[in-house]
Amino acid sequence: MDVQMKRGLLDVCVLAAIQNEDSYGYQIIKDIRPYVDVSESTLYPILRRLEEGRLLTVRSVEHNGRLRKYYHITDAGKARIEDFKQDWKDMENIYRFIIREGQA
Amino acid sequence: MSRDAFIGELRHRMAGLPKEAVDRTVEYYSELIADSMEDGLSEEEAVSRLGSLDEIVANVVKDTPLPQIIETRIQEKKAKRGGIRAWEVILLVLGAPLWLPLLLAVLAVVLALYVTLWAVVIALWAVVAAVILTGVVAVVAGIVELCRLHLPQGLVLLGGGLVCMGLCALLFLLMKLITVGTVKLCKLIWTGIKSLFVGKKGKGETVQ
Repeated sequence: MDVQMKRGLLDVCVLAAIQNEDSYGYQIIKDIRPYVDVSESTLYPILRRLEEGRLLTVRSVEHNGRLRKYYHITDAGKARIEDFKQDWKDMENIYRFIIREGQA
Repeated sequence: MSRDAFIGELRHRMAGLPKEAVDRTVEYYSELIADSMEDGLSEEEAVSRLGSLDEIVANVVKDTPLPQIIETRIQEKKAKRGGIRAWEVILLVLGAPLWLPLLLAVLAVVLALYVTLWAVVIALWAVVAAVILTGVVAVVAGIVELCRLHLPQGLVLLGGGLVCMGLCALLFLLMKLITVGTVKLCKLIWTGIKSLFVGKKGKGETVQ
């Protein structure tokens, strides 16, 4: 898959992984991995980018005597997911056109 | 590699990056190791799943601007020795005829490298533009010649023009690849330059 495309998709995947419930690094990787190939070192810059873009916020929570960072989706982050869904619908239309023209 | 060795080596290799970036990265990876172990992985497995240290550090370097790296280096030096000493200032000033030209030379070489790379790309694009122009002119001239009933000349010009245009379509695709490749190469070189300022050299390089 195209690198830029995968990067954009991963951003949305991470947001989707935290949209219902705040989550932490290890859990996010575990949730996404069955669908997209993501490594620990690729997730790190994504989380940074999303935090800098205010699409998510971070808070530290105590867990078993250590701190664990939980990521919380912002309204802008939710809007990003909605944008993606809309983009996907447009893409689907284009896809259908391509397939139909291919058969004709 | 054990967790402590991994974290130690990570810190070591990130020396020279802003403290805040180092701490944040270390926190992120320690948390992942701890969570993996809680999930039932052994310490060794948890560490090995994080991938290579080179890749991890290169990612952080890519995200940090060069001025910030140099600033950190200078501050580190100040903190370690309690400011720059008088003899160091004297040495810097007296040594200026030596290090200043050397520094300028290095900068000039880097700049020359970039300019050369892009000059080649621009030159190649100019070739493509020239071929397009030739094609268009030849086609127009060919049609004009045909209208003047100079059949052989007209056909040759028209044919040559169309060949040029066809060639252009192929060249254009090739150029796109070359341009994208050059952008990637420049980014790679830049990350390499930044890496020169990061990490402690010499002792401890082989910590496992």
